[in-house]
Amino acid sequence: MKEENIVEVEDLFIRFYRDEGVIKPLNGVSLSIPSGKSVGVVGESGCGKTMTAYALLRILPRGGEIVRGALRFKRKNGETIDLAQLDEKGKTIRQIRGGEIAMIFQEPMTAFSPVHTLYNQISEVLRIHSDMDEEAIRKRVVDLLGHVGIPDPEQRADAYPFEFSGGMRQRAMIAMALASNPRLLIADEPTTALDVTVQAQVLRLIKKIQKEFNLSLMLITHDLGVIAHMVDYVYVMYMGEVVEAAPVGELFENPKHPYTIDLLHSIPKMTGPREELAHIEGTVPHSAALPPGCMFHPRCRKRVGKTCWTREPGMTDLGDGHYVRCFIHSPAESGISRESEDLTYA
Amino acid sequence: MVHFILRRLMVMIPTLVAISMLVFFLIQLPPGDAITSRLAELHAEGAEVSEAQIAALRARFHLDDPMPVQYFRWVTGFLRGDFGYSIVQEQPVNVLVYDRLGYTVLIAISCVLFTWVIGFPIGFYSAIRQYSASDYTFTIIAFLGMATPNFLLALGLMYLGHRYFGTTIGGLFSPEYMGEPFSFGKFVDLLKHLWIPMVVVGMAGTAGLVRVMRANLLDELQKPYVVTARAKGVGSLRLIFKYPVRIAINPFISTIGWMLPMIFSGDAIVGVVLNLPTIGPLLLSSLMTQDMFLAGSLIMIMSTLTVLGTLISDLALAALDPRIRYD
Amino acid sequence: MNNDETTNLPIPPGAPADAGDAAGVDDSGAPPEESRVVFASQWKLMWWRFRKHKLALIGGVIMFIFYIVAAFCEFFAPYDPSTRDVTHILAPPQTIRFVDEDGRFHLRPFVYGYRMEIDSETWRRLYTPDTEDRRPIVFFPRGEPYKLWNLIPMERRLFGLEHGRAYLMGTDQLGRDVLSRTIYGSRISLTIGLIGVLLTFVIGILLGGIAGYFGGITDNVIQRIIEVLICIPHLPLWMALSAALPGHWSALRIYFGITVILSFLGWTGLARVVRGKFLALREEDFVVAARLCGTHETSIIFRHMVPSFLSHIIASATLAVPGMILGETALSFLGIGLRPPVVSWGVLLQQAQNFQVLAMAPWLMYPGLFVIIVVLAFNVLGDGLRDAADPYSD
Repeated sequence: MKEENIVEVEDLFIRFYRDEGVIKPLNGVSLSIPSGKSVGVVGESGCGKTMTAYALLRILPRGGEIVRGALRFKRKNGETIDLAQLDEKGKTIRQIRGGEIAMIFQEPMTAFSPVHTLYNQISEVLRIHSDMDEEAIRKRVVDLLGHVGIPDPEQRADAYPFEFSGGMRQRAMIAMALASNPRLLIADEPTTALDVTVQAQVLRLIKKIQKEFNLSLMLITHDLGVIAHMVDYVYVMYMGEVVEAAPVGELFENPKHPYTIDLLHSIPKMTGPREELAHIEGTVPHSAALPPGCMFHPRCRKRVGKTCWTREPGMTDLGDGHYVRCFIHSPAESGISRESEDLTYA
Repeated sequence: MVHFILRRLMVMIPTLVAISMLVFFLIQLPPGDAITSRLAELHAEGAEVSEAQIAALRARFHLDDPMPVQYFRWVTGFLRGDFGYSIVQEQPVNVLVYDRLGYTVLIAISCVLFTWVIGFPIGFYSAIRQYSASDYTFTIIAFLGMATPNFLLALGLMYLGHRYFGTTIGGLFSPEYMGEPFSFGKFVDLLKHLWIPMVVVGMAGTAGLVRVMRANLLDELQKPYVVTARAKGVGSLRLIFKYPVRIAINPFISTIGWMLPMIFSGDAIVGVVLNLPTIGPLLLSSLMTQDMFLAGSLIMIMSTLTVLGTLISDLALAALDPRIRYD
Repeated sequence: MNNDETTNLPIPPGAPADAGDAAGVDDSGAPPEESRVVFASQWKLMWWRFRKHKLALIGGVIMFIFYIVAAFCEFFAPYDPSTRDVTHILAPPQTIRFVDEDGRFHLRPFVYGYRMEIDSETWRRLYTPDTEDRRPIVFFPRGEPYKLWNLIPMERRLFGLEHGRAYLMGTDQLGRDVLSRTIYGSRISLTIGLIGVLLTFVIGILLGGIAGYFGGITDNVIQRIIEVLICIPHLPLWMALSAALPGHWSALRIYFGITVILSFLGWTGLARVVRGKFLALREEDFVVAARLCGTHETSIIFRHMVPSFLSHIIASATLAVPGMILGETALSFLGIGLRPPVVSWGVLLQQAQNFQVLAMAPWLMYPGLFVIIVVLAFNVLGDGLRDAADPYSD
């Protein structure tokens, strides 16, 4: 593991064995998050962004298994462990969940229990991960709520989630995530369910606390606009694979993968001449039936030919931290014929 | 909360009025009226009844008043605690019902408790061990419980009791305590008898509740707040009890709403089979003799108890679930 | 574990191994056909899901058999339900045997005849199997002539004895065959559930639909009516209503009267389901879209809304049948439902109400066993249908 990284995901495969077939949400994801930096993970829904986050916390939905790969994480005490090897119900992973890696969810409406007060739910983190006494816990929760911009925190702490607006609830969620001083914050589409006006406020808040607490941030979103202002480095995912990775500026100025290019073209521009908004043809295939060859070839405008659907492209290093998984940028021979091994037994 | 209680009480009144109208309609339903059947009975006994006597009887029970007046007199009687007069048994309904009402309520309450005590843990276990062998076993038993008519279960138990223990199951007291004043010995004797109607009447409800609890909990287990709690590092057992169980229990409380009518229905038939001193057998005999005033009052009493039970469960629910309280 | 930089994946089933060559396309040509996700119709998806529900499948098969037996009960019952055999009063059930007293195996099943003596003290009849008197069971024997559905004259029945009569479920106090009576009773008991639910269905969908579609005051009134009805315990109300049926009515009228009474309270549950669905669907995008396209309201209701919740309604209706069957059984058991000479399971069980009789002849409870099986089968079937009704969930 590199010194500067807090997380390294390597070659991660996840499988769900269901009656209707094997669902393959992650197919060899590799990514890393440097300490104190923010990293964005972008892609359409169903590309495996959230699955990657759940895998890190080992809270995959029932039936989900990590069949291959490593999830290296540097703990607060400096020790590096492979989260993939931990017992899902064990003590270690429970200490890490909420204690060292915290997560903010997409739906602040449903992510809180409706019948417990905010104080009850936020203080729970401290009860699990610290040995503060009741008074200290109370003070810390109120401080946190004030810090994330909830007015009158002393009173509001005892309110129920449904008494808050969506934006306020998301702020409370952030306060809950911060409660036990985690090292890594995963924000899964933190603003998708919010009003546009509130989105910017919440994003600013996340940015602010990231700097303040020197957190590492993994921001998951389908919205490239959000990524631009928030992160240092971007991973673009498609069907459970990273297809392009680059520093944020480089990605926007010089995208290489046809999928990234299409994604960028589908953002409406505020300035310049009016033009028809681009879209990506077709839909994401079902993750039970992966296309052969390059996963993107059925929708790709730039496919070069047979190679694209017979061989799997590898990651090509373009220099300066820019990587892409496409035959346009690498000799076809570098690809790998996908005929060998069956992962079911991996 | 006070506002909520007041509002619920306000809703209750029109419901009770509507029920009373329906029940009054029931009373008028059979051909002829109460006097006709009483006369038929007197004739059968060979008694001579003169026109004047009939007229006197009719006047005494105001049977010739217009319907709305009769209804009004009948329904206001309830407010004064006067449940009417049984023409066939020639006694006020109050007297006939007095003892039986207490036992009916006792059986109803013990049934509700039995249902919860048994239904909750089984439903819970079935949900967290979904599709396991024990889940299937409980599911099958629950289905069996729902499918067995309670009177059949009562008959079966009686037969088994007779066949293997040589005792007659039934009633709420042993013969030696019948008509005795209440004492500790009588209380213990009551408890010895109470469990049979409790199990018999409560069985279908218990089975239903197991299914409800299982379905609710499975539903709640998939909610995003469960993922949030897992991501906080809450241990799995604690997590299940603090969040999904806490929320799945709410519809549980409101089951009183459908359980009470079911229990009274059960009592109406099991009471006959097991010879219980409850309202059920009295209802049957009143219907058999077309003593419609008595029957109407009994149904009215059962319905009122149901409405009250529902009110109590609604209030309990509001106390548990802030969303309802603040709505 | 393979930790190569790039990974190898298995070829998904159905994808051509080397599509380019196989299809004869050159390097610059079109890609191979996308592997398609198969789109199945809603009913097909429901069937797939239902099929996985083994218990429900068994329930469905049992129901099917029961209704066939009920439909052709004259053929399946070995004897006429009202024929009395005064020589066999309260005779216990006979056991079907293949092996006789001497341990010899017989391919044709047989029963033993009865040896009857009268207890000199209690004057009770005591029956014991007469091992001398082996009576083979024959299939499709000629018996007393009868008319199927009161129309088609027939003589043969499913089974019988070569000589004498078989009482596989014993006889009642009048010496009538309990098995035959139970089989005949299934016709009444099962159809009452079905007709009752049909009625319930019509009232429920109508009122629920009106409430859900129009909303406002109409909805409010119907909702209040439902609330009032569910506050009244069903059985007592049923009892009062059926006790009010005039005593001089014919058996057929009583039958329909009871059916109407049972549906009178049963519609509330269904109406609630329908109303809820209507309310939810009214706001659904596809309904709004249809409306914006200028589709006629009736067409929206019947082509867009009804099909999307029909499956739920069918499941709810299936779950409502057992309630009806149990209701009839309870009323007849208490003696205020159907009355003899009509034969229903409840009427049969009425004989078991007398504890002295029951203690002597527990086999009189057999019809109850059939009630349990049928209600059980309906419940699991309905449960499976309900799970399958929403093929897109999960």
